[in-house]
Amino acid sequence: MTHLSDLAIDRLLAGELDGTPAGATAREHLSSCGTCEGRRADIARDAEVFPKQVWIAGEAAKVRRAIAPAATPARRDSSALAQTVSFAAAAGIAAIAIFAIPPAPVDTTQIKGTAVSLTIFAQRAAGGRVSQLAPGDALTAGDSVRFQIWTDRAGALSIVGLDGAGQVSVYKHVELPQAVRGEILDGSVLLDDAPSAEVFFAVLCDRGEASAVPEIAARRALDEASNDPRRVSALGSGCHEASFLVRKNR
Amino acid sequence: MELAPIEELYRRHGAMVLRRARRILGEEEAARDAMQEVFMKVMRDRESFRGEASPVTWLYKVTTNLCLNKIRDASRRRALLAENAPVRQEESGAAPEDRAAVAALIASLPDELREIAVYYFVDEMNQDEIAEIVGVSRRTVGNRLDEFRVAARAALGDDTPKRVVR
Repeated sequence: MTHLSDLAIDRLLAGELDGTPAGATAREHLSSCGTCEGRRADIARDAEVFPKQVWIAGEAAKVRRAIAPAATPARRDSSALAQTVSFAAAAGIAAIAIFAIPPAPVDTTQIKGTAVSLTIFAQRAAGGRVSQLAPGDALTAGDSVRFQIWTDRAGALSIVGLDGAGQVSVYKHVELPQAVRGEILDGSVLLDDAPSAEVFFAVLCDRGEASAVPEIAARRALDEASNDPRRVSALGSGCHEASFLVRKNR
Repeated sequence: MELAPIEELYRRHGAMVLRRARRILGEEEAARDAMQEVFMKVMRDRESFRGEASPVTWLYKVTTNLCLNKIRDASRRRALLAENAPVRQEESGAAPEDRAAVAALIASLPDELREIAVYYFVDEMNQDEIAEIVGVSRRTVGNRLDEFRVAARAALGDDTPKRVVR
């Protein structure tokens, strides 16, 4: 005997099969099959207790926040991003004091079918002009950069840099309890005078995921690309990724 | 027709989406995350969802694919961590052997095979239902199931999946 699938039962309970031959057949089967009728009762009971198991208003609020249109960048110290965890500096790049981002930068980066997007701002030498970079832009020694992030979900976010000297650096690893829109991460990195390309990756993994995941993936990807970061288009980390390539000149 | 408010969609379909995610992922927290992502997709793709003749079928498909992607991604991450086992062994967890083997198998399969395999072996759908939900012919479903069996036999030896009859 062929039993009804859960799909058929769910459609029946949702009323999608009302007045259809498939619906009539399914109802007839239910009337003569104790197994399927039991399953139907279980599924109906699940639906009844669902509002007691799940706080629907809270879930709905999370979804609304995640899909809300992009706002102006959040304050630097807001939300979970104040919990900066690690700020590793590799050869050629060091952490320095942060510089201020203009209050309303041009908002050209939006989530469009991707879970994470990355924008980079640069300050040209200490105290110099601050501007939003375009992919491939050239920077010089003494410039510093800051990262701006969009995500459509919570997760463990890492910012990883891969450079032409074969270095992989995890600049940040933070837990995001919810989606963020244009969040500017704390801290900045100072570029040294070693000329090379550097590709920055924003990697969004499931909550609680270790920073080792993007780091190991980055090392492998850079190795496979013969230490040429320009050839690394994805890390293959199994997480959501966004990348941004810059050139460092002397 | 206007799309119902998100709360109403949760009330109407939430239990089904969560049950489905639990069944595929096997972990409550991961299933709840998946449910949230499914409803985010509903709200983003509201035009598509609103035009669906069967919202239930649409949600089945979206939930299935999202959960399978999670399994595939987790499998990749485990593999990456395993490469670095001396340093990060504690991160790799201790999944049962069979679950790991199935996860690895799922991760290695093309999307069209793994989706159909889940509908057939996990959900016990018939081939007509699978054809409708995936949007291919019944014959294609049969062919892909054959391909899946070959891949499973190669990966799991004699422990090829069998349908469980309720």
